[in-house]
Amino acid sequence: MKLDGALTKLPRGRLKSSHVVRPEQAPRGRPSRRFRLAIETSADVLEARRMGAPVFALTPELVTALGYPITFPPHLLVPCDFAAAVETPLPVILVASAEATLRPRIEDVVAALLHIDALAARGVAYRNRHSIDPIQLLRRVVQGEMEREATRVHLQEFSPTIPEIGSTLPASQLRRLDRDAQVVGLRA
Amino acid sequence: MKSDEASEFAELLHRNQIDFIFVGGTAILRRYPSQTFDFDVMVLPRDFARGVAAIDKDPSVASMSRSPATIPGGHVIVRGSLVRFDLLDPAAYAGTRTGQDFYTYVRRYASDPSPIGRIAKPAVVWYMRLVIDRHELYFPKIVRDLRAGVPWSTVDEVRRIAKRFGVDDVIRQRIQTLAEVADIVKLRY
Repeated sequence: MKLDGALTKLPRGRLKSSHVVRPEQAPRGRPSRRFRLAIETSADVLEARRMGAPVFALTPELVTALGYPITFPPHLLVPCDFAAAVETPLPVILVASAEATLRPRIEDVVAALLHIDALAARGVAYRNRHSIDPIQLLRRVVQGEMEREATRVHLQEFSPTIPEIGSTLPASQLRRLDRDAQVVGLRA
Repeated sequence: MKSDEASEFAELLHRNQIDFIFVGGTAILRRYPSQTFDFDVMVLPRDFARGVAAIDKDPSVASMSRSPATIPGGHVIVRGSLVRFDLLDPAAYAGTRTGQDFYTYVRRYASDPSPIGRIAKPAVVWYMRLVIDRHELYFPKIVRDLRAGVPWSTVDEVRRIAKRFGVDDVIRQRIQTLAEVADIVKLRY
């Protein structure tokens, strides 16, 4: 048995007008009522988001903009319930809440980064520590079952109630990572 | 950085007859409780080469880089401390127009006088950060400015500057990304 997810047509047929929407095959002579999202690139994600689809691209540009310059292939954040309706060659990170993709917040980005690079997750958390809601970060880490990765980079510093599972990197290494958080000056 | 340090650096520029405008973090710091660790000044284009040479010879300048790959800058001793400075060429921010046009615009319409010299308005600082190639590296600084109290509505003025210099399409996209970042860190109201 498998979960069979799909999109259904929105009022005024907006779904049909976009290249990121592919109709599923319908019975002969009947119009298609079910659709899937076909996401090839980060630009497709923007198009899908414009239509209200709960997908979000975690890109190196975004993580750099959040203060941690890094390179990695873009990842697609998709709610678990919606995953079957998305076709994509991009690596997918499943999230528990559609809210995390529709209106992502810093806690969503940090939790997602734990799947890619735990040090980057800490780097982003540290650089944006004034914006972090400890309860929300706890919720996202636990929902994603990422307690071990969170503990490794001691995200408990930003959300003390994250369950500690496994070992933590030496404090001196973490401090050095935080110290490297300086932002460069204005250069053309 | 304290304001008397900026004052001492401004004195260095004045005594070398350099026409300049404070931009970057120093300009934000003059209006909001922010922080910066270096001086960024934009120098009158026709005075740029002479200004760079003059500063290079000033005894309070501890080091100066003038490699073609980087913009002129270095370290200056102020109040006994080494502070980084960069001399910015307005041509790099002028879009489809000239560096002289950009400098004149900022001087006349988008900066304010102060005892230490002209200080660019926050919209100019943000525009300069957004218009350059590696703009995403400067988003954290804009986020820092937002935290310090610079209003989000500053982007409206950034759009107007971008339109004036023919880069509104580029800036529109970057402001969209900036809005996404500001939403993520909960700083857009």
